[in-house]
Amino acid sequence: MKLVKLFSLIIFFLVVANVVVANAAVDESVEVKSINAEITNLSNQNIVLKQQIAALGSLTNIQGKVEAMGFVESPQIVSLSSSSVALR
Amino acid sequence: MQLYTTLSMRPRIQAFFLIVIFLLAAVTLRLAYWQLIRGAELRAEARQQYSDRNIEITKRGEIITADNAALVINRPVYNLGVYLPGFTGEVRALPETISNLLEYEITDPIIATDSLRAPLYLTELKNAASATMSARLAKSNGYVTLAQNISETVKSKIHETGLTGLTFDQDFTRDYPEASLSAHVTGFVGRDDGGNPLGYFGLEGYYNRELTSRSRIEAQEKDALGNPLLTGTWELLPGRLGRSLKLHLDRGVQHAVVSELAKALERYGAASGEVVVMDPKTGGILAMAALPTYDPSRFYLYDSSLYKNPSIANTYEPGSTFKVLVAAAALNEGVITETDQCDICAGPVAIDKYSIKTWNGEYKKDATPEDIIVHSDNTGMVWMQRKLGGDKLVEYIKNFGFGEKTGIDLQEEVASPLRKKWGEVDYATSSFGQGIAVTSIQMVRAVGAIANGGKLMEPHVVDTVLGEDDLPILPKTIRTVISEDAARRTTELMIKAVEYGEAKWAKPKGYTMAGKTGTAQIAVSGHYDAEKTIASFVGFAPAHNPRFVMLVKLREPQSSQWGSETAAPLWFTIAKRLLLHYNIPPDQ
Repeated sequence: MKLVKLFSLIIFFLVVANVVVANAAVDESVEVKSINAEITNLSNQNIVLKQQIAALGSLTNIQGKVEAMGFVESPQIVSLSSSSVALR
Repeated sequence: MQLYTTLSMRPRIQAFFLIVIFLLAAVTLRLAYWQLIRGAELRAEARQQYSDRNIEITKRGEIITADNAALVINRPVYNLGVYLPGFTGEVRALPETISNLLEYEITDPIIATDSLRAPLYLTELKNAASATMSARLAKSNGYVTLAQNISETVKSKIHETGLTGLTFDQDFTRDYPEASLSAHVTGFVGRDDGGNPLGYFGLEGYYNRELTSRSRIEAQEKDALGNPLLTGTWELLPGRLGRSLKLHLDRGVQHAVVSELAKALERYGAASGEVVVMDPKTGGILAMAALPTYDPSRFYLYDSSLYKNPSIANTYEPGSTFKVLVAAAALNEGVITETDQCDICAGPVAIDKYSIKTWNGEYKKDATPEDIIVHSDNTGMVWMQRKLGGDKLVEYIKNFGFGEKTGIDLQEEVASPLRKKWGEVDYATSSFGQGIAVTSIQMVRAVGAIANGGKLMEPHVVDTVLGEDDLPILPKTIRTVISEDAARRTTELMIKAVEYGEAKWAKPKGYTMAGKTGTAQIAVSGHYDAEKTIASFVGFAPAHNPRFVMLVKLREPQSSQWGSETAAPLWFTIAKRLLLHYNIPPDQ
């Protein structure tokens, strides 16, 4: 009889615990949803930023800007041999 | 009396019993209808009510260059929809509101640059979009798709309107920061019959399986407000990001090649042009360009004939560039030495009904192999071929990789099979690169074997497949075609061809370079067209420790038909830029 009472008590506490945990989880689920939305938003922003960096850093874009600023290609490249460079 | 009552009640009880039976049957049939016929549908509807199914589209793999620059990346786009029961605004006004915020592109350059027609055309596009939305809204009371592939900017603008009930389903589209710089290498992404992304041509086609991603699907029970129930059931089908490709291709080299090729096409009036640059030691493709090209983000606006990479998908007769391979074979077999003299070079060589002549009508008696290569002497090549023998010539042609695919990791590679029956004249004409069809990549690889001490490499565009575990694609030696000694001696002949050949005027000072010009007539309807040529130059630099092997090819140049006056100067111009790019100082 004592054993039955003990089990009944355990079951009662487990039911109560389940209700409490479930209740807390419901509150947290709102937070989880909000965090998931934030993750998606940040991932998208990352992708968009990466795309913007790639577009701005593309050689085609840089060439256009360099030319617009008036830079021209050097017509002659001079190579210095090691003997012609002052070491001191 | 009792009997009467019993008799009169029985039919009523029976009738009542029958009615009950009938009602029970009706209920049973109705239950069977709901559970057996409509069961699956209702279960799905119920699941939709208490379960949240989230499909997250994952990104296709990216393509990056050797210097870690993005060549192909992904851009988020959205499919705009509206769930009408949840929409609180004025449905009739929705098409106009949305169409005013969408971006429109004028694909016709004539209209786009016409200041009068462009605004009218944009209004037409806007009206058409609005009409499509109105028609869709009129047909449905549930979910309606309003616009597809809208950008992040447009999405933000629509958000700012404060309209509720609109949905934005995310997807990704390919973005090319360098525009058409490497279109023939990358290929493009279209859709398969099921509407799923599928790579076509180039790397997108060849590595489609590696690049393809798998969507992440998460199903979780939700409450009445749509929040996830953490104590409910949860199922996850994990997604997989597409694997990315890191290339041997160097962005700076590719840019230099494309810009010089574009200038050359204009300067020489050529119909088209190609440049392939390969590292002879690894087979890594450092640059590969062909003009005219197309914009992979708007591939549908271009003629489909432009999609294929001509360097791997088109064959041509290599002309005199092929001579260095025959010379390498003859030196390797020991049938000629540098001091041997040609005993048939005093005039045209007659074979059957044909007469083999030199390109300029000049003949040099007792020409040495150096004279033959430097002056691109066809009769001298017939002499070399005869010394080598027909069977050996064919064996070396095969060993240099002609008649088979190179195995380059691009989708549309072809290989023209070698002829099955060889006659005397076929051996002779093949010795100077006529009557044999090759691809540019085959030619680069074969000359790369000379630059690489006789070892023939498998060309590769991709260096590493990046993913959870990186997979490097290691250099692969196919076979050793000639000895190191024969490769060195052939290189010396090619250096002489640069120093003293027809293109010596274009060579930049200070560097030792090995190369050979080629001018091949184009076969039209079984005959060679005297006016139309393919001018080419193939070589490597620095000659004694090559950093790259390069082929330049111009089709139908108008200013001059000769490779020495068109392809060779372009080759030297690009080579000069590449040597500077790789910080290689002059060696002379």
